[in-house]
Amino acid sequence: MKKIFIIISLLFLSIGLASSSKAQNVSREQFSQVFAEYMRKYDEYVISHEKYILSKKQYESFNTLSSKENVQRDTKDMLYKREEVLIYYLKSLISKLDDSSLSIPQEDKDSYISQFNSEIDWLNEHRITYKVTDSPEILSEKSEAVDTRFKVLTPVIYKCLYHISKGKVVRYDERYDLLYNDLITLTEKIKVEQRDAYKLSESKTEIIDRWFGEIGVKDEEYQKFLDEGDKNLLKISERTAYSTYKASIKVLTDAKNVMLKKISYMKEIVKEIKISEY
Amino acid sequence: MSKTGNTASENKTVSGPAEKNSFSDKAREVFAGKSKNTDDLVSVPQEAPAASDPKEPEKKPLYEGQQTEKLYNIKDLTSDLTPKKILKIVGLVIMFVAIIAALYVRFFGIGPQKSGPTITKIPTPTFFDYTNYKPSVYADDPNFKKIDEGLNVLEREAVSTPLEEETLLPPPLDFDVVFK
Repeated sequence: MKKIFIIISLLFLSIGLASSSKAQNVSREQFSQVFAEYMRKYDEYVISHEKYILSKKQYESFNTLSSKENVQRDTKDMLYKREEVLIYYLKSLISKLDDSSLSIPQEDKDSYISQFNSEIDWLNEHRITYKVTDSPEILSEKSEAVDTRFKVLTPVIYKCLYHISKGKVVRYDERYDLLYNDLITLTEKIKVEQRDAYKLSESKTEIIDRWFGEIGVKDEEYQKFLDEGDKNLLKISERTAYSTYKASIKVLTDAKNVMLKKISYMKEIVKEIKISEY
Repeated sequence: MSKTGNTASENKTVSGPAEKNSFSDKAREVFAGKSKNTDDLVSVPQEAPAASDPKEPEKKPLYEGQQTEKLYNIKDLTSDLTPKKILKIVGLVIMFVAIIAALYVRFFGIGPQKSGPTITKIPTPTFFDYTNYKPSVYADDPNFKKIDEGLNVLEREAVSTPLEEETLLPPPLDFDVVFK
């Protein structure tokens, strides 16, 4: 009877563990699939773009009816593939935002997903408007419409990328906070310990408190860098999207380095507690 | 056979007073370079001392017996310079300077300075996790071990994961679709 109970318990435990780990990996697997499709679409676009360049050269050089026919066909094909690339690129971003290893505020996440989805819808509608009968000039106009929309969307994309990177740092810091709270709880218990072998001397307690104070200073520094990165991102515009994004990433890197310092300080505190005074 | 062409039987000991001047003259000739091709004993042939003044009183010879020593004089070395003598002098000077330099270095310890940059190897500090302390009762505490492990995993992950998603940057696409 006891054996049966143990076997059933193990069965339930294994099912529970498997389902939880699967839930964690779903978002990553989904992202990998979408990203692989995006890469495949990009390769197809590169091939179609090469054909378009050749046809365009021939059309501009000879201006014959056949060259015009060829350029219309190849341009339409290239534009269609280009929009497919954009659609899968935006889908990859949406999938990345769903990654559970990132800590992004839900409202930011929803805002990005909503903007990207509406853009995907527009692109899906727009790409079916391309026709073989479209003259090169009409194709050029239709392409320009996509270009204008993508230029407007570019700052939003870079903002989203910044939040993805920030989501990593914040997630690390959340995990760090859990460990920090555990250590604080343990240290407080040790401080009230009455048994001789278990209690810490006053001088050692003072040292540990001082070191926790140092971590507090680093906490402020970390928060300051995060705020600075967010503030920097407000300056983003169509023209300066990439440079502003890069500058904000640099500030985020500083925040990450401060977080690593906090980890090293905490390790020192643990080590200090593990050393006997006698 | 000597280098001068005289046979051993021809080399005779200076013994008479009449032969005194002729011997010294011969010696002078030898050291003045006239017989410089020989390293043999200075020998005076029998026929050489013929020009002595009969009126002069007989004097005791300077050397009795066979002359076997070379007579060197520093003045003879510097007079009537020939290329071979110059070479000898230069050789002597170089040897003298070398000896002086060696003695100077030996006793004053100043050697010639090496040209070119001196390579000084700076020791690289390496982390050595040697724990020379007595562990406390908390050293094996599972709660502390869990925190320690959690910190190590977090640190490793944060260091190895790139912050920037470079693969998710906007794709380079051609938007310049214009026909002439």
